Amino acid sequence: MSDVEARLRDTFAAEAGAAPDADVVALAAVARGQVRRERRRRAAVGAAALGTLVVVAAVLVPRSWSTGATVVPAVRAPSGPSTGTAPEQPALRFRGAVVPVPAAYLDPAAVRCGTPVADAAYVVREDRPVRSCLATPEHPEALTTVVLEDWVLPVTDGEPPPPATGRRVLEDGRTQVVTRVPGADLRLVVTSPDPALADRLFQGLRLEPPPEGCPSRAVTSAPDGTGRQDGVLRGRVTAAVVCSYTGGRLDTAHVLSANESATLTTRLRVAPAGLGTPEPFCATVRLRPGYEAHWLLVLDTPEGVTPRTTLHVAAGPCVASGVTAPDGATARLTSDLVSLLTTLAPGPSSFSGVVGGT
Amino acid sequence: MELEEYVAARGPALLRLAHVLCGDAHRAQDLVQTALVDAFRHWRRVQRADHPDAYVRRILVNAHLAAVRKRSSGEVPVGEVPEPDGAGPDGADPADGVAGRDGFRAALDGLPPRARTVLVLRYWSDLDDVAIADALGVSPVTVRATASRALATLRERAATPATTTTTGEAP
Repeated sequence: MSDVEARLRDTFAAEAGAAPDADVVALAAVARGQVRRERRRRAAVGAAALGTLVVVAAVLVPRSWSTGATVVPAVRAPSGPSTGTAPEQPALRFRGAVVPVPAAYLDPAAVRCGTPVADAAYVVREDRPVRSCLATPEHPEALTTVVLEDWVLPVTDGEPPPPATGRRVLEDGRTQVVTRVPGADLRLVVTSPDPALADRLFQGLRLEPPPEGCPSRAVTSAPDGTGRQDGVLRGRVTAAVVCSYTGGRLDTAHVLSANESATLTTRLRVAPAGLGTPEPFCATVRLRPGYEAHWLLVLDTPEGVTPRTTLHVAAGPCVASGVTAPDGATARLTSDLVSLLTTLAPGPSSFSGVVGGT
Repeated sequence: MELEEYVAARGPALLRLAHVLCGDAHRAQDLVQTALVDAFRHWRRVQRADHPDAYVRRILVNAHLAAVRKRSSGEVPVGEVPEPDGAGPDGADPADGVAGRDGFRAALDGLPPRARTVLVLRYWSDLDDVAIADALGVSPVTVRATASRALATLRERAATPATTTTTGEAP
């Protein structure tokens, strides 16, 4: 064996020795869950297509018999935001990771001061605020929790380190399943007194691409707001997606229902022109990105200058808060608008809703 | 044999192979995950295969090469920066050993992905050229030619003084 071959074996052996000690069985469980969902989805799509075919045939075949014409059903191209108007299944969603959970788990009141006090599904992120109180649930051993958290969290005194990946039984008797969400820099932690429920929730994990129009990375600086003063919207809005960003990274995206879209449009139209100015203290204090919220509003505007309009929204004490259109038109960020956006697509957890100087 | 049974038995070896192929812990897990999803999609075929390991390995290798092709930025994120062990052979200056090893690894990383994969399969997985050809979907002749070129490149680069591989250093 030549020297180079020997070095190759040494080098590869060293790299294999540094391989992660990951829970491969958990990886298998996620793989099985993902494939089963794909199969169910395919079956559902197939059944729907068959149903549509039957209906179309029932309507068109007699007509073509009578006219002798060949009928080709029209194919409608997907149209961005409007493709997702079906009601969304209740799920914990963060950075493309989706874990279906019962709707009650998503009640914000289920988590107080960072501590779950009822069955809960929530996100713990790098920019989380310092825990200001410690709620004590009566029977923590009875709680089921689903948590998506940043893979790397800052170390805080007095808090336990993040759990290792794998499946274990905790001291309080609950089953905990932990995995790294592939490709999303996240950890999924499912804990439940019912092992079967823990496994079921865990296996629900899937990754979804962002809706069309929501880039996974976005610049956090708005277009220059020096354009016209007659509003950021022209014409009707037929569909809308709200994308929320922290540090330029897509956190959550929400395809709006018709009602939500109408509410958002109304609030955008009534907002007066202009942008807020940063607070004076910002000249000397540098806030973390978590104190700013950025959204992109991707709107289908068939009567506008372009069929799709993307509005940039910035909020925070140290940014020029407001809505900016690509042509430079601006709108003030009213409290109604902020509250709607934080409900539709929550921003950073430490973002307080402070809009900035006016 | 169920997926979980297979993974319990062979998963750690797959993870090590993935790590040697891509050199990053997180990416290795992603790679194994991708390979398992693909394997489970065709699980009956895997079960019926004469060599299920070879089948899954082929999926893993192809997933790796596809991921390399897709990653156009060339950015290589690493979870941790490895600490040099500092042990120099035969009392030599440890820095020389580290520099040599790093130079060799840099030369290895500089190979085209397919060539590096051939070397991993040959010198880490101990596969013969026919098995490597099967994993990569090429002919054994192509494997031999690729390996031969890769080894020649490594010999050439290993023979080059270390100073030429480091840039921005004061002499």
